[in-house]
Amino acid sequence: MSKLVNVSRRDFLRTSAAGGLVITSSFLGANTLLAEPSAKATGTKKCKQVILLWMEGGPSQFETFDPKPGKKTGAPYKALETEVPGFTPCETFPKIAAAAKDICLIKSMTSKEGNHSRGAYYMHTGYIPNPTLKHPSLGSIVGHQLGKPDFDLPNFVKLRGAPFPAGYLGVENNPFVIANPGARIENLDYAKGVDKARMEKRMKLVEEMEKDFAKSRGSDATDAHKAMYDKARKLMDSPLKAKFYIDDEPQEVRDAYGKGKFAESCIIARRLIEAGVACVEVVQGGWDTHDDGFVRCKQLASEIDQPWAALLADLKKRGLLDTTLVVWMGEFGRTPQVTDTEGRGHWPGNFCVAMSGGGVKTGQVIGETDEMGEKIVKDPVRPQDLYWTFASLMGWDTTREFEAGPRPVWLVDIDKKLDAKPVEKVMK
Amino acid sequence: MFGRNRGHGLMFLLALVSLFSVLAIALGMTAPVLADKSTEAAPDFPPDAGQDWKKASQWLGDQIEIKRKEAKLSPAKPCTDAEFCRRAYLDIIGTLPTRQEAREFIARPAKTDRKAPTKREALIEELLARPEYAENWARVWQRILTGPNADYNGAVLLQTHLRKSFAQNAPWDELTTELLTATGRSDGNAAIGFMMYFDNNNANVAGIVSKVFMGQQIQCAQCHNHPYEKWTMDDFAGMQHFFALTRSRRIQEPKKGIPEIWDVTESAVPKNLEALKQAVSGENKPLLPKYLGGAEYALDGDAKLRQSFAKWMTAPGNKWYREMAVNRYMQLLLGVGFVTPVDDFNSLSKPTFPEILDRMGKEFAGSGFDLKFLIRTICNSELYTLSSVPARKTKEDRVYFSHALIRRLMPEQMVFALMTATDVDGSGDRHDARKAEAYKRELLRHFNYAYSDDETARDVDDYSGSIPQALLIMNGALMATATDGKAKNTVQQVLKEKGEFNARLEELYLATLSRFPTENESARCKDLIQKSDNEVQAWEDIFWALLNCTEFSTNH
Repeated sequence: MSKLVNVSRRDFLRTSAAGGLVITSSFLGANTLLAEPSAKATGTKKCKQVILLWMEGGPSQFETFDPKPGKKTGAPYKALETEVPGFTPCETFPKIAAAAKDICLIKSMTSKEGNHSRGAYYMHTGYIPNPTLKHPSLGSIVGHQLGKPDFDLPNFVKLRGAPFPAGYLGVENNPFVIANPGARIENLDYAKGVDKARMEKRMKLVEEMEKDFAKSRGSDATDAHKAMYDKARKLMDSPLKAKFYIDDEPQEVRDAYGKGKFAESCIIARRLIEAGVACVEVVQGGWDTHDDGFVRCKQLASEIDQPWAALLADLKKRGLLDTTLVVWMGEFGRTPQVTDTEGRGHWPGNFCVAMSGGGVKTGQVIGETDEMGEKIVKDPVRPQDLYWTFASLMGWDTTREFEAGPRPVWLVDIDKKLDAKPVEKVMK
Repeated sequence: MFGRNRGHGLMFLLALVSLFSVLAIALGMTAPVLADKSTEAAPDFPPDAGQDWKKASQWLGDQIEIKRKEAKLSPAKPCTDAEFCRRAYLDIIGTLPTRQEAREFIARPAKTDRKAPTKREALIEELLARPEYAENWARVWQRILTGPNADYNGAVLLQTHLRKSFAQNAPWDELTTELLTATGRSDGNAAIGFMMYFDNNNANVAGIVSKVFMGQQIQCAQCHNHPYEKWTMDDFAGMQHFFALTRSRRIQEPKKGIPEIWDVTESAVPKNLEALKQAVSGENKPLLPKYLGGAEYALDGDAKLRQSFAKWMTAPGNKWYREMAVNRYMQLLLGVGFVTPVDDFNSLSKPTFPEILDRMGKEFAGSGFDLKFLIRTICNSELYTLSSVPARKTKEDRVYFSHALIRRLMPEQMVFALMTATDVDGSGDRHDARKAEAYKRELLRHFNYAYSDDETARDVDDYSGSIPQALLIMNGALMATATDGKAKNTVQQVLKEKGEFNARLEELYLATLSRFPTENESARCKDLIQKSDNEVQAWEDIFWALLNCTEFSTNH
């Protein structure tokens, strides 16, 4: 019988290659461009889980970890000396300064995207945004690569922020977004007047209907329906649901993390990691400091310094830090020039990323910027390199071709011309 | 309408061109070749194309039937009137028939007299004339053009403009041109929503326009020459530069209740090509705008750059443009078109039946790009009237239209289907229209958020869903109201209206699945009602189950 499914490009390529047919010259071009990745994931693959502390808006590198005190471009705060040479955070980060040994700071992160959504996409995926193809974000990749398919909880939980669809990895790898961490999660509990027994009765009816539908039309749609409902019901009934809330967390732990939404989110993140969730993304907004930046950055630092340091200490105490990568980053940095209103504009040229745990060699600084903080003078790291580094730390399958429409795509960018590779210095 | 196209000359050139096209296809090359490279393509089809949708519809069905015979495939049985009704409502106006509408249509005689249109023909006409037609297609196209977020300012304006265009049945070329060339302020001209959405990112405009309107995916060539297609970085820049003289600016911050105001302007084309090159290229390699797969831009009177581009792209002879639209409407109405993915006409995934697509494109262009002509042609064809229960050995068929494909409802369709089925509209006791509008918006936001699905061109066989999506339908506020004994909803209404079991069950089935229950289903539900100690709750459970099954959440 003739072929019933539309011939996709990939199939066509395979058929032509196998059948020795003429392969168009454009394809040969593609072959040389993409066939063999120049980089290899070389890390220890020690990392099993990830917490991404996403600083939405573009945190200033000056008012955080590359302060250039005393310079015209510099932050108006003191810089703290730490145990680690070159790691001199602003005085607004005393707790993180004290945790210097647990941090690997990249001062030489560089991107080309200075627009919020494009920059955020680039740093979230390692790919430049492309309106015709959606790449999954870090959490979706981690969930897909390291998550357990039959786990009660979603493999990627995002605390605040917008949902970021998993693109070609499919909706089952979408983030499970909690809009208001700590509060009751919408629709997760049985509706008023419905208990487990009544729900079971209802689902039994559904099952009967599904059977009839599948009998005449095939079970593709009903199987997917069942998978979706099973996962949702498993989550509704799971005792692990309690991990989303902090009511039973001891007071001394709460005190250690401090107050505020970010602190609460960090506690939830730790609880979820402990329970086995592959990736938790914690979002802290407010970093788009065009005006009044010095005051606002100080305030933001006070909201994240203690919880972040407490999170690292807590994970360490529970023996989870070695296998859990904690990444602090945002979409870009901010301009060396200070505006009249004491703020800074968008600046993707150089900015900071901090990493801890998960097989990262901490207690070091990678990269350097010049005196005024306007240029990278050592070891630039592009988002593609950063994602190769993640791949390396976790042992992602970087050779697997995924299909996005008819075109192949990889978890990390293997374009030869780009020549992206893992940052070896990060690895233990 | 055909008359508004330019002359029919150049016969020799056309013949040469078609010969070349055949050769090109034979050689595995891409891209239909435009008749005249320097300007827009001249029409290349007979004058009767697009004059009679009945003929076109019949032709389409006949051609596919021939293909099926060649492949030794039998079509599925014709669908029932109930199936047809549900399908047509969902496809054409984006929601379900009410239980009364479904009952009325099923009961209608097939034909009132010999000359009258069939009841199915008549239904299509009725739906095309309803106000929800414009609402539905505005939502569909806004999502295709700017993604699922309909709350963003540009998207809100775009929907407003599209609603107006679809309500007037603006021809596709006119509608496209308006979106691509609009200037003015957002409080005066909603058509600027499209350009505004892209916030001066010309690369994205070029990528989306090529993909959505011509099925050409050139985005990869923004950064490197396209790995699989012939597109180069210069081709990409050439497209992008048509938008380089346009500026979108926010001229007023949002104020109490008044949305922010934007202004889109486009400067005149410098009369000197060298100056134009500099003006559009900025710091990059100086290049003139260039028509995709065609010639470099040549001075074009007083026309602005975007006007020249739109004129070129929407020319009736532009095969990409007309075939992309046909393929999109086939995919939206039937699940698949002739090219898959729907907006990816690349060199190797060739149309399944190029000659049928070619003719359909010509019919569409010949109709004066009349979108209702296109919908009539497809929905009245045999392809649209088959059951979703496949005939033997055709279950896997995605090429020969041998049965109706089961398509998951888009989040917007789901919201409206649920609202219609449950009769919950948030308007409260006093039927406050503004409250209802706010309620609808909120639901749309929730569903889009939970579905969190960017893919308008998602594979037809991909039925996967997210956890929040299931949670929303199982436990969400709408469902709670719909099964609340004290609220105004379909269940309570039906229980009040009808006293007898069969009558009640019929109403609930008609409201949700637009059909009558089978004997088996009746028996099952009767058993449940008889065994229950709370009859109202049992009815609510039946209704809940009807809304939570695959038959409800898909179009079949």
